[in-house]
Amino acid sequence: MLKRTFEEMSIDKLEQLIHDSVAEGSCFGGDAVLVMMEVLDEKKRRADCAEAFDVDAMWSRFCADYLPGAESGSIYGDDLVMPAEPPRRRRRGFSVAFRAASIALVLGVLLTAVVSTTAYARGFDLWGVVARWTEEQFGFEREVESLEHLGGGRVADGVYSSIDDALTAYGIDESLMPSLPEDYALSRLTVTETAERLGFIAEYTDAPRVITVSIARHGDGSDAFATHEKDAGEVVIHRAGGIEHYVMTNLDNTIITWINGSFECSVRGEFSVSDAEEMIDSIYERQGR
Amino acid sequence: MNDAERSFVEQLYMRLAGMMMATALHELGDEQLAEEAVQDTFRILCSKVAEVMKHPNPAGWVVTTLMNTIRKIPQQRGRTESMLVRFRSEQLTRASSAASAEDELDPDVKYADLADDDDYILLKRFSAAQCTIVEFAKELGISVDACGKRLQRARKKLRKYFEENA
Repeated sequence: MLKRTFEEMSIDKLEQLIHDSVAEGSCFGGDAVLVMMEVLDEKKRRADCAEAFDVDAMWSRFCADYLPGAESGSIYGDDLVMPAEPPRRRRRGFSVAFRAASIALVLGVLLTAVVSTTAYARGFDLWGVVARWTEEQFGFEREVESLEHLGGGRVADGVYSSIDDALTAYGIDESLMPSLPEDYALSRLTVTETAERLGFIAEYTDAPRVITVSIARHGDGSDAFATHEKDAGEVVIHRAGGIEHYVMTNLDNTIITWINGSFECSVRGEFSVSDAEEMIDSIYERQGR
Repeated sequence: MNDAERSFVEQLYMRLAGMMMATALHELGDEQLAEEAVQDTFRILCSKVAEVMKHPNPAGWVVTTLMNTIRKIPQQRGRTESMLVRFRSEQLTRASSAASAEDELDPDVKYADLADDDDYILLKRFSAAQCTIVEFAKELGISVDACGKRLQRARKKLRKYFEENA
């Protein structure tokens, strides 16, 4: 069903979706991108605009140049992270083994609902999901491995005029959407739905700057969380609404990400960390939608 | 790799490499770099072939690895350049401080080991050359594997220098 959905898209649209998934890491995972690539390849062949690569010659070059010593992995070294490898913890001495104590601590935090800002590297267990980060990446992961895969799905592009409308259409009433700086206007909104994940991605533009808001509802046991590229700056944790929100930077961009129940949310754009904290607070101050 | 593993890799290669090249080229904008991203992805596959053969969707695994590789290559290059610029800037600052100081302290004593290090010099040349690792390896007449390892070693030494001199 996912393939049929992609087959209805134009070449440009497919290339955009692949780009969003590769560059942003926040759209589709490898399984779905593979389907997109196959559909795109077929469309380009039919339209006679497929790029021609001599795969046989590439294979010969691979065997001659890249295969020797391949047991050591990437020629770029350990900096390149493989799929399904958990990111390494940033600071030594930290252990996630104290699951029960972590859960008790988190529940305590939720009960007190203190809004504060701290900066430290730790992961803790929240609804079975742990936050982990290194100098270069941030991600949520579920402690128990899941082997579920994408199957079937649909995409709605440009159907809704706001994320709030889209959330309402899907019966979602949790406070998830922050207020954005005034001059930004919605330029694109895509809803994607598969057996395991319902995703909303919206771009707000104040040319040339763009803020991207991503909200994903994960199915039970799903571990298809996004990985965010970050620079070596500190991850700031800002608490609001009883939830810890992680704020980090990647060069000129600031990224906010958090988990609210089964929802994984992120906001990315060129704004300051203090703007980020205001946006976070606004999520829980908004009165209805 | 044994024959079965090699056959497994080759089948995936023949099925996916063309599409992966199209995607990598679209993202990286350079055909040589795109091919390096694809080749490095399959090199990573070879290093983990036994476990990927048991994966429910090996082709999906390969595409996920490609996506990670495409993201990481330009980022790593950018970081390397930043480190080199920073190191060079610190060298120049120290050298000019020493030149104006009455005591003839040798400012490069602390950094001489790294500044004269063969791997570091190689990394500087690679960064200046703005080419792929395979192109650079051929220019030097060494294997891609050896070239990659020397560059990794140099980056580690730079990172260690900054940690020790923070």
